[in-house]
Amino acid sequence: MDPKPRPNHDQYLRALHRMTPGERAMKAFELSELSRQLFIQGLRKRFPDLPEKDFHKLLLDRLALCHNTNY
Amino acid sequence: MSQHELLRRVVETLDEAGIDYMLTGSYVSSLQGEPRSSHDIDLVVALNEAGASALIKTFQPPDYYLDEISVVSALSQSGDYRQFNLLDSSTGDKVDFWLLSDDAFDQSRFRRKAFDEIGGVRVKVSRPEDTILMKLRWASMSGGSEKQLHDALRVYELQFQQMDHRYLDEWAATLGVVALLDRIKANARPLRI
Repeated sequence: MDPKPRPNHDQYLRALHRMTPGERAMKAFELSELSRQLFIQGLRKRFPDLPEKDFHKLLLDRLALCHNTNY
Repeated sequence: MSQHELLRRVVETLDEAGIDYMLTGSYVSSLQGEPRSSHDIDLVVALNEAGASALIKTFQPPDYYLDEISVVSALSQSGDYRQFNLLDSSTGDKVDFWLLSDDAFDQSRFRRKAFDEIGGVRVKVSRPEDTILMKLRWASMSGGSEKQLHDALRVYELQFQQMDHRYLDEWAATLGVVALLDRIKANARPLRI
């Protein structure tokens, strides 16, 4: 399932357990925003001269490809 | 608008319109297990025509994209996986609305939903057993998605001591996901406090 060794797994679960459910969900929102910002930076680096309006359209098109990529 | 604000706006609209709903998917597995990023907010909704009108009226262009035809089409069809989505035009964030079906498991998990609080927003969410079962169901339908299994594993580990294991086992048999649940159990190192 996950071949990575997990030597401190119990401590990791305890840290998650110390957070409230709401805090864990807010962390997920935070991670999502961070990954979105990284995605934007990477895309801008590839298209540095694209006007803002065109860049925004490209960004939305690319983000649409990321939806429901759970499989 | 942040995803959290988008969730708040959607929940407020559903509450005001009297539409019963339940948050599910990766944001609930984050809430009950391990936080992870996602572009999608998944909601199961007991939607009717009046509720659909409220959503369409609230989420208008240019700030949002909500295709009225998709909403009407989802409402007029029958089946287990009817859905439409709402897009935040500025950020590209998406809310998937899954229409509550007559499927026995869909009905059971919707009946068992409970309130939780996410950043000051009171939200109805699926119970941990149902979060796991739905993840296993998606994994089964998608040919064994590791992401779904990983989410399910962390919920199982973190919620182990509070879960209704009999409910989990019985529904896993009904849904035909016993082998996947066994895989979760074999890999789990549950938290014991």
